[in-house]
Order: sequence, then C-alpha cells, then structure tokens
Amino acid sequence: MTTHAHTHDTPVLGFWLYLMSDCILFAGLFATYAVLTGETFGGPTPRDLANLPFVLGETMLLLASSMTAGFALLFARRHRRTLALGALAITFALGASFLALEMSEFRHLISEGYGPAYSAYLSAFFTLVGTHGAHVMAGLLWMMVVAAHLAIKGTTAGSLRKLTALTLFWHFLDIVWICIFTFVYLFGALSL
Amino acid sequence: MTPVMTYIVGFLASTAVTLAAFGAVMGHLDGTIAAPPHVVAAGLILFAVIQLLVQALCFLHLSEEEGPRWRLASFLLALLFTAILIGGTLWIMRTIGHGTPEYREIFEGGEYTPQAQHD
Repeated sequence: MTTHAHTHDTPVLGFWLYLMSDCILFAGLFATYAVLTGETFGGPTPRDLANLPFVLGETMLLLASSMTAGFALLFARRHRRTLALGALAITFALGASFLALEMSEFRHLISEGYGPAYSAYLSAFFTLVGTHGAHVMAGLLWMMVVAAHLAIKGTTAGSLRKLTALTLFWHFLDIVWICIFTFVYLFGALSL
Repeated sequence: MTPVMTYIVGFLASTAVTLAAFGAVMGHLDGTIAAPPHVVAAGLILFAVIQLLVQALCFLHLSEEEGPRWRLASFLLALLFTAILIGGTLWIMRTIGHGTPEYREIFEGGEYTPQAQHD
C-alpha cells in the first residue's frame, strides 16, 4: 500500500477527475453507436465489421501494454530508471502495434468505399472507435515526453507524478477498449 | 500481493475473461454453444463487468486509496452518469422506434407505417 504513496497527490486526483469526464464523453459515443447500429444504408453491418480473431489480437496488445505500463511505474518508484524506460519502450511498441492494426482496419473500410460518410452506422462506428484511437495516439505522444523527462531528470517526484498520470490514462483506455470489444465487436458478431 | 503481482494477476485474469467472451461468441457462431443470442449477450455483459472490476482493482488500485476516497466516489459517479446516459438514450429512442402512432406523429411528423419500425 505504501508503494502507492504518490497516488493521492492533488494533481493526480485532478487528472483522475478529467478521466471520469472522459468516461462520460465515451458514454455519449456508445449511446449514439447503440442507437445507430441498424442504420447501415445497405453498407456494412456490425456483423460485417466483427473480424473477431483480428480484434482479439488488438485486445491482447492493449492488455499486455497495460501490464507493462504498470511495471514501468513500479520500476520508476524503485528508482530503476533504465528498467522503467525499457518497460515504457515495450508499452509504446505494444500501443503503436495496436494503433497500426486499427489504422489498417480503417484504411481497408475506406478503400472499399465505406468511410464514415457512407451511413449513420459507419459515422457512429468511426467516431467511437476513432476517438479511442485518437486517445491512444495522444497517449503514445505523451509517453515519449514522459520517457524523455525520466531519461533527462531521473526518477524525481515530478517525473513520478507524470508517469502516474500517464499510466492511469493508459489503464483507462484499456477499460474503454474492453467496452468497444464487447459492445461493438462481440455484440456485432451476434447481430445484436 | 506484491505490487508486481497485482499487475500480473490483473493481466492474466483479464486475458482469461477476454478469451472466455471470445470463445462464447465463436462457439455460438459455429453452433457448439446452443444458447440463444440474448443469453450469450448476457454472458458477455457479465464478462465485461468482471473485467472492469479486475482492472479497477489490479490496474487502477481503487481499493488502495488512502484518506477520503475521492477517486472511488468520482468513479462510481461516472459509472452512474454512464448508465443514465446510455440507458436513458436507448429507452427514449426505442420508445420512439416502437412507439404508438401518436409518438411517431410527434417525433417524425409523418403517418404511421408499421414496416418502418426497427427490429
């Protein structure tokens, strides 16, 4: 429990409250998606988009990256800077692989003529999944900044606080993805 | 449990639940699981809730907060808002979709056409 001494910092609590408001943003996107699942205008349906083995791969990449992000934080708290940077590098590689897979899915759909403008359903799909993807992209950029801070300044209280907020953000994105995995892809495969 | 173990346990438990949900849908699609779709869907929601709890405890460490539990309180509030937002939206939109002729006239300004209903 004492290892989480930094988690009750006021700045970290402020960041946590931002995450909770982000959660409500995603709730709005999920609600929109749920309402529009039937409005496919003759184009791809939720079932057509549910390439489950592909999406399982994406899910496992994010899950593994959530664990390695946690390791980075634990190493940094023990002032093992090189190990922390190594764990962050692995987290970055896993997150970037996830994003590459998501981009290839989007590119494939758009190249077939089924971009976000094709139907109300695809608008909702691209907005929901794309907003998550944009968060992952922002997380990757932020990870580079925090890694640079850690490399230059070492495991100071400031860099630990930054890393704590980053890992919270990363775990939060993992939870949002679990909801996308379940309600977009698995429910889609069931044609629900 | 040491801090390292919480992340490892969180990852393994999340993986197990993810694979269970994936397996349930694949089994349903190839016919090895005979349950109707809404039963499988109920199982998927259960798996998602389990995974939310696992990650909240093992990754977000919501059970280890010291002092006033602001994080837990705001987390629960966000979950409540989420439930109201999604549940309320679906309730209202389905009421319109399945609605009486009066509803359809109010919201769509057109005449009642049963074949235009959803589902």
